[in-house]
Amino acid sequence: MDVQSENSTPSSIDVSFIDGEYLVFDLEAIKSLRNDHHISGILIGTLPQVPQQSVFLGLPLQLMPEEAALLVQKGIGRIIDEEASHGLLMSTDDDYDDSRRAQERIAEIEKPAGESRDGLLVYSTPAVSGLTDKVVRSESAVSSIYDTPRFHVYKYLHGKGFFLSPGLRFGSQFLGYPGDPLRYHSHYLVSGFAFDEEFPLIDLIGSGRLGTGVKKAWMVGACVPTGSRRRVNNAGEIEMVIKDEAEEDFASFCIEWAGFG
Amino acid sequence: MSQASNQDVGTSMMKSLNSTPTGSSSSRPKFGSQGLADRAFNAASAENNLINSDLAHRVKLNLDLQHLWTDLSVHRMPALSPESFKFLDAEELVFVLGRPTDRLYATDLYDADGLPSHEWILPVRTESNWSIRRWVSVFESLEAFTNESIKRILMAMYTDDSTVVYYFVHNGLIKPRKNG
Repeated sequence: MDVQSENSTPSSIDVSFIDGEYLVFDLEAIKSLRNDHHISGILIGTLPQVPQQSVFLGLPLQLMPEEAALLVQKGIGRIIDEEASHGLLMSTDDDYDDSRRAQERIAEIEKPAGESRDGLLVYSTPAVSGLTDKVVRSESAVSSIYDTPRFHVYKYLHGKGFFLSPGLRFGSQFLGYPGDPLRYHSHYLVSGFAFDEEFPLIDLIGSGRLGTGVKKAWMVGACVPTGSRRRVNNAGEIEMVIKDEAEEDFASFCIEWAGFG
Repeated sequence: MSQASNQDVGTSMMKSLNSTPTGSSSSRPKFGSQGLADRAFNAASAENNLINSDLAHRVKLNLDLQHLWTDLSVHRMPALSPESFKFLDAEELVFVLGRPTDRLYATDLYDADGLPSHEWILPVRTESNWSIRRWVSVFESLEAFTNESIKRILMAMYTDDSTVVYYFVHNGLIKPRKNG
């Protein structure tokens, strides 16, 4: 029953962009995401015969926009525009040469399909993505995510080795796990803010109490703009703290109920 | 108050408290006199009352009488970035310092005298807003004042009905505590 994995991890992970969602269909890529890049994502594929069940979910893996953006930013993955790729294949061009060439390529790719796979997983679904040249979305398609407080806090915790999953169940942006979510409970309900973004203290009470009630802390944080930190120097004067430019300054705080009051 | 006989006791008490001349020239609401007029005052000026010594003394009283803390004192310190706050009395932050009846964390160390160590408490109003910048500024100011690194503070959130709730604010990432 042992599925042999090729030792070579794919050099670039293809993330399919379909109808606004980021999906990964390749099992090796999913393993690499989890083992090498501590991104777990969520399996959303269900069984065709029992589409209502949500216990045994399989491929594809859905990524959060921040995960997809991080993969692109780090050069680990690329975003495939599946609609455009599909259109490229299906384009009914008047040009005879093009359609004949497409036919040839279809025949060429369909021939070895299925057989070369190791016996365990044989899909009757045609591997459409293999048929055509992939249309890669440029980095600008996700770079707007780079400047969001959500992405900042995602990147900060991810960089510290945390796994993050959607935080909807606890009303936060993410849940932060100190290791693989299959092995650890989450430590944090995570909310990213802009440095000056104001939130009602009632939110602190609600999230802090909820977090403590489920043995977690409410972790909040923001990127600190350069020159925002102060300290008192030896002469007793207030001065700006100048940080190393290369290092992104991120301020994080953990909120817990004090246990009384 | 003779015509108040058909009112319930609570309302007439509140009325009498509000209508009783205090004999003081201060316009600030007095402790225990949170009538409707005061509520309106508080809602309108929640930001103005964000941090002040009046609030600090009420929190100190709550820690003293309800939670039996000892060695309580109020400290005023300059805010290193007063512009982070919309309003401060004389650009100062006001903290309460005190000693709980027992350590608040199972992992906390006791002081040399065997007593739990002191905690810094920042009193704020529940109606106010907060931001990450304010926490950064609060920790900077407290560290400058105490000249030591501060890992955590308590925030005391004071409500119009005189409920006070207390929350830890840890500077940086911590492991959540195991005991509930």
